[in-house]
Amino acid sequence: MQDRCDQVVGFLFPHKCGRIIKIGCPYCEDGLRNPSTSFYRTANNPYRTERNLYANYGTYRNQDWGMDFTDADGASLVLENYPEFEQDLGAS
Amino acid sequence: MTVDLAKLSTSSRYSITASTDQILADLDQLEQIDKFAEEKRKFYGLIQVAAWTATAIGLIGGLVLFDTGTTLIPLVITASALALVTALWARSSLKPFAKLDLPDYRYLVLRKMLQMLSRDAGLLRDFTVHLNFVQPAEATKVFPHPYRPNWRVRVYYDTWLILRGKLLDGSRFKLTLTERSVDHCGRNINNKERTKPRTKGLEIRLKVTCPQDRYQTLANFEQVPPQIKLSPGIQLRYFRIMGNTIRLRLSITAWTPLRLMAAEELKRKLQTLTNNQALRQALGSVAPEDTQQVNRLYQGVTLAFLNVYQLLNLVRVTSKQAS
Repeated sequence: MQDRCDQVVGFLFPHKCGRIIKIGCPYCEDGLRNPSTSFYRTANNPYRTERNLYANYGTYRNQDWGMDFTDADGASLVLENYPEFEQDLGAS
Repeated sequence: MTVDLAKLSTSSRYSITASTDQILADLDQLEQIDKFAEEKRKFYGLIQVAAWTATAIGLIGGLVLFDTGTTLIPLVITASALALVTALWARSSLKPFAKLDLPDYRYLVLRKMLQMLSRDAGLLRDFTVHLNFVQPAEATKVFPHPYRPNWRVRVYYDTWLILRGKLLDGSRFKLTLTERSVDHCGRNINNKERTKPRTKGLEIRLKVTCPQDRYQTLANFEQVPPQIKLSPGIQLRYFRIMGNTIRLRLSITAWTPLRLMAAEELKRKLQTLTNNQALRQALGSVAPEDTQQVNRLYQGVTLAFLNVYQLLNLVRVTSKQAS
């Protein structure tokens, strides 16, 4: 099993990049993490303005959603086992 | 490149099922075509204005000189006739470009949307696009005015974009953008035919169908009031969860539809330019460039997706916990 790019990317939902070959991967850039494409709100995320449209996207507070959900921005939100990630499609 | 120029100039439509890269390349090509047509239109438009003016001057000059009986008369008449021919030639040359002068905001907003969605669609997923560049020729429905006798109300629905695709989580979406407007028409007190156009905003319709296994607990949220967050100027019209589909309808209320855009643009230009009829026709572009409009529409679409996925992300996590 080769080392996959496990950078969490995405805009609507976080998912792992999943590329097998890290060379030329726009997200991990051969191991160097590139925060500009991360799902999470970072200073140089190109989708920062879109994120601002919906304050606290990806977090669920008790009074709003009827449940206390503290690890929302944690690992359980990250989508795993999607077909592209399972089939070895590699870097394209 | 898959943009068929002949097809585009006759039907003014662009339909394709292809990867994001392919569609984005096509949209770049559409932009080039549009820019080229716009330039040509301006060029021939100016020639036309100049030629018509020359014709008019020639005719008036001919009439003035007619009495004096100078030898200049045949020269003036020839020049005037030449100017007339030039004007007619410019007019006919302009025609094919009129249809290729596309409304910019339609492809610009699609490009931004595709770039946004491709982040969650992976590299290999196809999108289906139906993009229409023309305004509706006929009203969708016509009915008598509710209180004005002999007046009619014409309703126009212009669905100019349908975008379908599948995202990495396995859910399919269908996005529809519809411009809505009405015309009140009839005769006024002076027995003159009048048309009063009104915009009814732009409707963003989003339908997301989720895979059952990943979103098992979606049904639990059917009765929970949705936590819809919107920015000013955008209204919620409909939200419903039925089985494994979510339907959301938003409306951008202050929106000038393409059908009324030319008139508004003309009005604006008239205020700044002149009252000259020929100049009005030559320079009255149907496709004003308005980045603010593109951004407003893009924000609306992004908000629709964010609202649906704010819920779906929670559903996915609770489904994972439940199983």
